[in-house]
Amino acid sequence: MSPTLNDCPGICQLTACTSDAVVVGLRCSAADVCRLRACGIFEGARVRVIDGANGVVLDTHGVRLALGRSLATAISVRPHAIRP
Amino acid sequence: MTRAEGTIAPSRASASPEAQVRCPLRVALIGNSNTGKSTLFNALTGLRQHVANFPGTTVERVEGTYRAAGGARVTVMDLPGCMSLTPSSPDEAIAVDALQGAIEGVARPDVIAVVVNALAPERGLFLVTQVADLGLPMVVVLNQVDAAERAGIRIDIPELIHELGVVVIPTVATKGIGVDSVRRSLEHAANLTAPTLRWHAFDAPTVGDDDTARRYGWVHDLVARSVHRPPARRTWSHRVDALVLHRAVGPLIFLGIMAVVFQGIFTWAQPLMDGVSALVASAGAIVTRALPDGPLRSLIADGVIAGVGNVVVFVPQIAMLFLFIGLLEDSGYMARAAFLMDRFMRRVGLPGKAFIPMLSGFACGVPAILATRTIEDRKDRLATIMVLPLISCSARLPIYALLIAAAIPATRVGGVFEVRGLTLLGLYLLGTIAAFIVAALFRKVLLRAPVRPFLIELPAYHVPRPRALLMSVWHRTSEFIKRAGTVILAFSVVLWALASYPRHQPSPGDTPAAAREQQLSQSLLGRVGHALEPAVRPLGYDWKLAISIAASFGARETFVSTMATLNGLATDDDNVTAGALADRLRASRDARTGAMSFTPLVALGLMVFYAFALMCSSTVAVTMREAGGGRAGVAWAALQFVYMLALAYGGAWLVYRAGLALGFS
Repeated sequence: MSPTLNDCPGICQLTACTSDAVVVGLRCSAADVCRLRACGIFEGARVRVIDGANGVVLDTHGVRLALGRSLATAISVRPHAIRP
Repeated sequence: MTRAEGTIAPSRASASPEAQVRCPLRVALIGNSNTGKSTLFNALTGLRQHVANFPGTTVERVEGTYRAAGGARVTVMDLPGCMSLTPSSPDEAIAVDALQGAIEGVARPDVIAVVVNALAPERGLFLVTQVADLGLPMVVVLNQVDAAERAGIRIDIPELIHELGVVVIPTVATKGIGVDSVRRSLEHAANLTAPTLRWHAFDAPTVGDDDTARRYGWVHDLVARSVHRPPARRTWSHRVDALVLHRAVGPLIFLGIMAVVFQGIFTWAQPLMDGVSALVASAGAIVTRALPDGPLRSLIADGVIAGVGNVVVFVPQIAMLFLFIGLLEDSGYMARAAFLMDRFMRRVGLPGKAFIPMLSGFACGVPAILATRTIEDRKDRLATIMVLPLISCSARLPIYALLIAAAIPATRVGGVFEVRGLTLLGLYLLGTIAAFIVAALFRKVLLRAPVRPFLIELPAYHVPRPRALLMSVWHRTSEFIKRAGTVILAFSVVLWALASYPRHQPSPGDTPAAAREQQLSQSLLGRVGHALEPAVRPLGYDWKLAISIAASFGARETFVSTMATLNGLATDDDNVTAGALADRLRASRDARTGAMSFTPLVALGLMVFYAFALMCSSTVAVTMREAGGGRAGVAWAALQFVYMLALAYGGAWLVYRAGLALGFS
């Protein structure tokens, strides 16, 4: 079985993240990359995952965003702190 | 007031002070969604507003004017909310084109006012960096500073002004605070040059899209120096979200809210509807008593009051629906509901954002179709547009109410549930389920593509402001009233004339009912009905229903007014109400056979027919425009009309034939 993103040390998909993280990659269509960047989700952006039950709810740049699961799966992040 | 009129001098900066004062000014208002942009627009322009469409589109062009202190006329254009100047939806594309002066007939603004949310300024300042690149004078309006203050956020305005090189005005648009300063700044800014921001020089720490990263990097650096936030803490909005978005509790809250909405629409509006109904009945009675028997009395009582009155009765219910939609939008819940619905909607090929237009569709198909403009993907949007008219709109309600009152007994099931209420619920479910099934079919056949991933901003919860809410309800409801006063009034008068001429002289000894029946049968309308009867006979309908259906192709709610006119309700009956019409329908008999012509089975088939049929010229027109206009728009609108008519005819036929086979009448 080929390694998945979640096997990379320190990097996981946004759907697998439960903490604060830094976005390291966007693997979706150019149009969706454009939408994400306009919302403030770009490589290097800090996000705080709030809920991952139905898709992902996250806070970034002071704004709360809701992402569908398929879009959240396309975002790779590096968690940088586990909140208590 | 356009640039072509020569009123806006390019050399404004060098004009004399007197010329500056008198020179008209065009201002464009832009900002992210949920920043209070439209509230600021209202505060700036008051009631001097007008709404039109941008040329060649159905995107609303909202403009307002005010007189500046020096006497100059200032026109403010309220542009649709934008995440960035890289558009990803039709609304955003129009806003960007308007800023760049790329729309024919819409002059480029002289000044741009960017509204930034003081609670979360980063995204707004990102937009500021893009607007600055357009090379126009700019003013930054930092709105909701009171909410920011309450949240413990302190903003160093001088530092922002220093870094941005433009005027930054703190405002609380809901209370009118800072609005005068905005006015003054806009006038002064028109004489200034465009700002030059230094985001280009910012060293982006990451790879990827350098442009976005540099802009956001610069914004973060600026915010770090000028905005002082208290340590992060859970706000009440976050606590509410923990419940509303919860995997198990969230859907229950959603169902509870939907139950309250529909309960409110169908129960709480009833006393007001009874009041309007009584007023209509009194008007009919006054006219009948005041005027001598003759064509004029017949025109006013049978044509105008019976026709328009039976539709106006439903205004309270429609206002109630718009009130709930306004409450859900203004409170911030609507975006959460769309998120919750996304997983389900995706299974039938619709995006979660389609939930918002679908809910609006229960009020009216036209604003619902316009609301699809927030759906970014063309195929997602088309699929939503194609099925939206299947959602039972408010214009179907008078028809359902009449048919249910005429055919369904007022009994209870198990002593709890009203059969009539359950029938109404069933009709609403029928349209909604059909919409989901048809959407899935469209996505499998004509609009094959994966649904675009869901992404939406969840605004902080707000307590809706009563004034703004009531204004929005009035604005939307008045459209329906205007329709009743124009289209339905005209229809009613024309129908009355067609049903009244040529005059038939009753034979001596004819009862009033028999005379009325003969008059109608031999009138122009009666002849049309007889000609159409073969087409609707397989559904169990007679010539009167054929006329009513044919007359309602332009606007479905005219079915009720046509039935009222056809049944001569006001001629010999002071009580022009839906209940009286239902009684008349129940008693109607076929003139040839003497058998009941309006059986429960016929009524049930009609309900199914109207649940599916697209009988609304406004919806057809807006579909044509929103589906792309031109030949493509016409083709999509034609397909929508034809498939819905086929579904309606097939459904009604199936109900009637299956009912007969099972021994019902």
